[in-house]
Amino acid sequence: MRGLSLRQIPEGRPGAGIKIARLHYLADPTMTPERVVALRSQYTSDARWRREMEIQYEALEGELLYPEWKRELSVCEPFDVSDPAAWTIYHACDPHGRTPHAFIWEAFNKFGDRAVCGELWSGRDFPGERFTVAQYCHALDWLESDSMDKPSPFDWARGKKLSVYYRVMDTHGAAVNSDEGKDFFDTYARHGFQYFSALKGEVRLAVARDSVASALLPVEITTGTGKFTQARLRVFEGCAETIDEFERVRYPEGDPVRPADERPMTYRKHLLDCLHYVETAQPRFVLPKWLRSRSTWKPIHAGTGY
Amino acid sequence: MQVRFDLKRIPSVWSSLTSAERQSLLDYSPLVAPLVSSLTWLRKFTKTWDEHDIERSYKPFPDWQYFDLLHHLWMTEAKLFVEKSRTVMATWWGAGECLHYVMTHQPASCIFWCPDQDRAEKCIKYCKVLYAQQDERLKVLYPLPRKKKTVDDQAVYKFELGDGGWLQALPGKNPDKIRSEHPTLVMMDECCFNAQGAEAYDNALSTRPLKLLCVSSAAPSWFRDLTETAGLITLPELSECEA
Repeated sequence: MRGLSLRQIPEGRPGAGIKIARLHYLADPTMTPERVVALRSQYTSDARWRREMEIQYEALEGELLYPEWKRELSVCEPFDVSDPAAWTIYHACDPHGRTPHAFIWEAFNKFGDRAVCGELWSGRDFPGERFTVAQYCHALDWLESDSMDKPSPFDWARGKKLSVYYRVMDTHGAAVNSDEGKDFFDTYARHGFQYFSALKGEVRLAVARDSVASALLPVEITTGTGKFTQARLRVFEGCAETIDEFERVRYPEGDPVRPADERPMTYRKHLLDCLHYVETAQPRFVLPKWLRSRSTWKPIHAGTGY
Repeated sequence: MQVRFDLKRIPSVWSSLTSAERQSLLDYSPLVAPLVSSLTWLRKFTKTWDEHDIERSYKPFPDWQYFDLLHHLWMTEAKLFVEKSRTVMATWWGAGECLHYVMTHQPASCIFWCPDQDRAEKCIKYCKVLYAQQDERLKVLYPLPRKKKTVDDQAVYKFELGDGGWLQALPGKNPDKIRSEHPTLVMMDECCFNAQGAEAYDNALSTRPLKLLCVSSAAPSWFRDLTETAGLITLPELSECEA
């Protein structure tokens, strides 16, 4: 029968005798060639299509984690995202025992646009050097302040205070004993940075990856000056490490034995991890309370409400 | 002389009847067919729910041939694995088979084991839809418990029937969860995405369920490791499945 085949595990092997039905989408009579073409075009990458629909287990091996990443569509010159009335900023931390901690700032507006507007990864500029949580917090204070001498990824925010709506940290932060406190959550909190735990698990992280992948797809935008194409997710050109990770991180090759082994492994990816942690918090634009209560509406006839 | 049959008992004795006896029972009442054939029940006596179609959400289960073959394998195999593309309605089919068996063989029980609670509860939701949408006469034959008279009165993670049958959702995170249960049926959905799946599968086997159904779309996993060595065998003929 078209689309359906049957296999059996041979004697002497674990699970001997079990029958395995392979149910391919072609068994579905409503799957016309036109529908297949339309469905295929909706997938963010051919490898994902092959895994999800063609039942190719190892389709993602060696594939880029984000094949939909295109520098020309996503990398942009920095612009101001410090206004809480227009952008909501999420911040994520990926703490480690020996490796430097990684931090990312991502802004979301009410139109569904998002921008990676800042990163902090000391491993790039100070390789081999270890910093304390107190030092990281000092740096975070500085980067989110209205200081006029912020470094490169934050030059757009000089003189502008960043109001962070939500901070999220890898759950690993609770497991690792920080030298300066009970764990990293506790230590950062003592320095004034209250992080929430990222909702992890393979399924959630897979959903987060899908969500980032969708945000990297091109969309057509019409403005007064004409039409142009760009991705929903943009990365400020100063965020060199994030850009680097988007361009290099791949799925591992070989024989993974469980879903966790299918994690992208072959390159440093702490900033992308941070991006996924933000995603698990289901980020969205949130108008601050103080702006919500400040109505600009004026009644025509004072005192009547009309 | 008029002979009366207890319709509820028919599914339990069906396999021991001759073809002539079966035919006479099928002629006796139109309700016999959905009681003894889960596919007939799915296709003609209940409806599924299409969440993408807001105009006509409830539809009969599709009359596609591959379900006849899958049903045949379900009936003949104690352990069955199904590797699948997305959107082939395999979860609906599995949930339908399980609910039909539990409903017609009470106090049978079933556990839906998925990578997380949400997905497991989705299987329960499918069962509730299939139960609620079925022919009223079947609802009368298989009522819900006295204290949970409507589908909405039931817990999100469990669906109970009046004669002691139940179906429960179990998240796959903890493979030991099933140790205290002794279900008649176990359906594991999206096995490839359950990091603890191999252990969960072994624990499920230890409870000695009558049927164990593992369904999944593809991803490198314990499921892949176990099935990779399998060799191609001949599919049963469709005519054989209908018999």
